Amino acid sequence: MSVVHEDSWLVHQDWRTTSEPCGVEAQQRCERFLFREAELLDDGRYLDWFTTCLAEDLQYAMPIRTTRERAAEQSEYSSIGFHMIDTHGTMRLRVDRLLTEHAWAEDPASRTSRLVTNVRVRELGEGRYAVRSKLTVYRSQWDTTGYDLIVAERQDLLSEGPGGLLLHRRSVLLAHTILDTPNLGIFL
Amino acid sequence: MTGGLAADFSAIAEDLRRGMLPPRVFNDQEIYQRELERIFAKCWVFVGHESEIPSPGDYVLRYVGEDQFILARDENGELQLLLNNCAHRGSQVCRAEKGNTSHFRCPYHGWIYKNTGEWNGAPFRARAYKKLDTKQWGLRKAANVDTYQGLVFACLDPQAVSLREYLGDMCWYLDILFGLNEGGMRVEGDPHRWRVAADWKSGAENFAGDAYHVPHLHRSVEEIGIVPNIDSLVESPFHVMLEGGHNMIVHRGTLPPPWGYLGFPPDVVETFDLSRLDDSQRLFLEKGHGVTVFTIFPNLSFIQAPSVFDPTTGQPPVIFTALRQWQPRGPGRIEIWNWPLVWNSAPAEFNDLSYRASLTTFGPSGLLEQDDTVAWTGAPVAGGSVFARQDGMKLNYQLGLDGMSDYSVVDDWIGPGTASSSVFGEAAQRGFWTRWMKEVSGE
Repeated sequence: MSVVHEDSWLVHQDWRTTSEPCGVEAQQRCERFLFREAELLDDGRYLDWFTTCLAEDLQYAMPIRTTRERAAEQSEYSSIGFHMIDTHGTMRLRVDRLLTEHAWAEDPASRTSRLVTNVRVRELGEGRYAVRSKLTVYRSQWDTTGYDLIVAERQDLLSEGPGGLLLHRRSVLLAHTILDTPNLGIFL
Repeated sequence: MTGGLAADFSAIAEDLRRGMLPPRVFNDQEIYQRELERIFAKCWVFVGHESEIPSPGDYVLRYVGEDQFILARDENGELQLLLNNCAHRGSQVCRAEKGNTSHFRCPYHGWIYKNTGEWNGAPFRARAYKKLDTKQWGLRKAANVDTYQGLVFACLDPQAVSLREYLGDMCWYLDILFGLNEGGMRVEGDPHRWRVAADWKSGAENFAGDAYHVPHLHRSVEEIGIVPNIDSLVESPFHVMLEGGHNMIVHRGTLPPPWGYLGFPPDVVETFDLSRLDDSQRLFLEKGHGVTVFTIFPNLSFIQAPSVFDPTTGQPPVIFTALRQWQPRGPGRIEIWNWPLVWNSAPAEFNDLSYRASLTTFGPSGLLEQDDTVAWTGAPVAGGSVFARQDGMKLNYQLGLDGMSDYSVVDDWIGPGTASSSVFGEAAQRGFWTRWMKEVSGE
């Protein structure tokens, strides 16, 4: 197995050419999925999120972003360097950890508020959807007014499962080159 | 320098001799400024790995203390560390964090520099700069840049000892960790960078020898199966302490056969050439030893450990390697940099797994490192506490002092440095602080 899926950081490289704009109903289904996912995570229902939102073939990647010259004409997002590369199995580990009594980074849990906006959906056929959205996470923790803002574009591949839509692929394209949050102990 | 601060350092030195430190050392503007001037501007500081800039013209932005530099490989293949400020008005001549160029041009008036730092021209030069002494007006550059086993260090002090002398006995260990074949190791991907409200010395002293925290702070990783039997990480290893405040945790073997030297699998071990080492270094490997963590003073650390990063697939443990640096960003503030490393000689499949094992454990999403960031944020808070100062609060560094614990010096260690019998001590951390004391106090 190769850890680096060459195109994994841009799920939708072929966004304009190989997909169709979706109808209102599909748009609404995908938005509802993303909103529900955000709600489960904000409410700390990690296991519910894991079992009802993630497909077993999940590929989750968060490439490292670097500041590049325009003239370099290279993507700012690395194809070989990542903050996270996760599968269904390793995502389960992260959830299991949060359910232990020793996940100090998230105990007490962060107070999070996930704002999911700019949702754009294209139909790929056979119940599959390419979805781009913007995510802004407010994260505050412990006895303080301080907070971190984590901002990203997410490029997702959703498809219809027996019980509704499931997330198969997600690339989290950070707005940041230097993360201004002490850890990625929360899910983006 | 104030008389007050000199007296304070003398009191802190006395505390340290008795295995204590005032929390102030983790959060104090005056002390922090001393660290920038006397540690980061005087010592050899890590600025990158040779594999990050393999070709002429390659560059990356790097920091010594808080100062931003361009680390460039010039057209002759020499490494240069150039202050990223134009000699005319101080504008930043390089604003991308990596790339390839033979020249840097200031956006303000267009002064141009070669990637050696040399002044190379300006617009309307014949009319504007008829008499400029161009030799004087290049980019300011670090007095010394040198490498050891692929690690690039710079020293801003023209009077400094050589890198080889600065590293001292650490070279013996670096040969083993990075010099097992000609191809060496390389950085995989780009470094992770993230900000934590912790002090740089908390990371540095932790990686100098703090095994004692592992079974408690990182208990969750045993519970989810990433690190089986986490207690073994304090029961078997020991410290090796070197002159200069460079310290480490050495283990007695992490993975059973067929895994071989340093915990690598057979298809990686067969690419190692032990004839590059001397007899004592080979003995270190043959006894199954490896280095779990080290800190080279002041702020370069290292980790090499096995992880079962995906127990759900039955994936056997995989050894991963990373360099990490605790970049000072103000009193009680750091930016952590983390460079996962792989062997150039290793099969791609293994390197992929090793990189994944690295991300799952250390780095911003690392299941171990997440919890470190929580633990280290407290010391600067205590350091800023009025009550802690008035009350004379001290932090305890007495583990292993005066019969406190099962911890003694062994007299038959096969390598350079002083080896302990266990990790139930804090001599390694005290060694780091002793060097720190020497530099900040100037004594």
